[in-house]
Amino acid sequence: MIRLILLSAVLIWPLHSIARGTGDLGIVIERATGSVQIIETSTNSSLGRIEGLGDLSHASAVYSRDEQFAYIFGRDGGLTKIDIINKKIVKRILQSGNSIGGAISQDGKLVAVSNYKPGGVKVFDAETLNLVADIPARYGNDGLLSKVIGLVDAPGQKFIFSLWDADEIWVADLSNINNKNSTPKITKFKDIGRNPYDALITPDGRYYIAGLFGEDGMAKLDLWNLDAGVIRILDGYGKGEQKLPVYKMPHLEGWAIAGNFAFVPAVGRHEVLVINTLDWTEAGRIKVHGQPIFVMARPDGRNVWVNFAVPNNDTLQIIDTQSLNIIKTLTPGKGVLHMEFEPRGGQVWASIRDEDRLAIFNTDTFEELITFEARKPSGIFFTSRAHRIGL
Amino acid sequence: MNSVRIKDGVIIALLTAPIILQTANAEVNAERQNELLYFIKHDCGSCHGMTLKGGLGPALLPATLSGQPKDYLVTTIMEGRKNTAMPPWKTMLSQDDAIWITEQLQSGLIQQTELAENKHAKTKHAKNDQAQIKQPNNKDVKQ
Repeated sequence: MIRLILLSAVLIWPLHSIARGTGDLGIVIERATGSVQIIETSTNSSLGRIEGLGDLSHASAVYSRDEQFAYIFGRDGGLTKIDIINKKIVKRILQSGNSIGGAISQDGKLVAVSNYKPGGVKVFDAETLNLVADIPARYGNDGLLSKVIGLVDAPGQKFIFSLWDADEIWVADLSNINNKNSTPKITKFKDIGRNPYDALITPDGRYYIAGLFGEDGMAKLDLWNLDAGVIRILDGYGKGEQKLPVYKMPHLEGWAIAGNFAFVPAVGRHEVLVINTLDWTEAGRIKVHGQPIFVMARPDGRNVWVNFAVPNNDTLQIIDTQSLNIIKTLTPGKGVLHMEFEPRGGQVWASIRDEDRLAIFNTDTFEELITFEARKPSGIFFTSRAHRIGL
Repeated sequence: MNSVRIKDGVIIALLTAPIILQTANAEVNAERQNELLYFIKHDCGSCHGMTLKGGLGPALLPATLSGQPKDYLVTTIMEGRKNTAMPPWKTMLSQDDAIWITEQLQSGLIQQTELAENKHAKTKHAKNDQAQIKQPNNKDVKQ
């Protein structure tokens, strides 16, 4: 009898706890109020809000592979695991004084956070948020700690990140981490170029590329051939020209790629740089409206959308990747901070911070379709990221 | 002409005069003060953290700033700091703006203002929550 009751409980339980799938869900960071809004892209609506996530200025998120949980990395060192179906915080820890971003491992069991203070990376069990490994970013002879940026996951249970102060790239292999061993195998690459500010990994998980703030150029690491070391690409792209002030650090999130071309923000120049990924040479430059921040390809690669640093952050520009021309300039409002494409690219969501709203655009007609309220919105993250390397 | 005049937030007088820091209490009207508070939080905050506890750039709290010369901080804001990520803000801020910002940061006044503002924001949002989401319908489509 008891067995029968248990059996029926098991049969009924899933129907009640999960009323819908999660493939069309996403979250929007509300940076000033420590909250996230849960949204869905099938009919473009908000499903609710979760509060109490601390300081979310410069926050980002990754998803569990079942897309039920998101891990939010806050500026205040907070790591919060939320359940986006039941709209609640599952667990929240303060893991450092000041953090910048995070990543989830290939097997979905480890969550890594990159920290400014104390500089380094901490790795947590994705289920419990218990500390699994601590990787202080010590460099030089004095044992100083560097701020860590550009943390991504890579195939083979690896996390890769860059050291802002130390000009290094580290590859941490966690494939041997278990109950008895909490020391990852670290491979360090030194003198990669001055002040790496952010990095990305190509969608195939092969190339890790760090942008440099202190020099004109980028540092490329081929993860299939680590022995080849770090190679400089786009070296001296601003040669001999005075840099413009950089009022906000650009981001290298994802990989704006179309055919053989990749698109990245220049630093201190109002240009988007085009890289030929066959030989990693510069294939062109596109003059744009301001200092580019996010340079993001529509999933089909036909267009690239660009937003800008203050005082030009009221504008979005769209580049045609065949002609390399700007085909549209939109001015949706002040403080356009982030964009996220639907997985198949028909619509793009944009955060318009100063107007406390989200705008959704048709990516073919560039029409603004819908707007709805969000409190000082910044990052937008759809669950489709759960299944992409490096996101 | 050594006096500083502000028109649309741009210094015009200093172009013809040597830069003389005006470190007397800055005169910034109430509307501009609000703009500057927003600016500090969101634009300075990009690098120094929205709560000014630091990020890529150092913390901007009284503990770190109060011991430093005011002129030095004003110059840092206006001219930036070489070989660091701190850019010159003089195209967006007037000298008086920079002095006012420095005073706010050194004294910690901004944190107090911020607390008051947050309380206000929470109350305001709580009221709006009921009617928060506009469903997609014809009215919302911009033609």
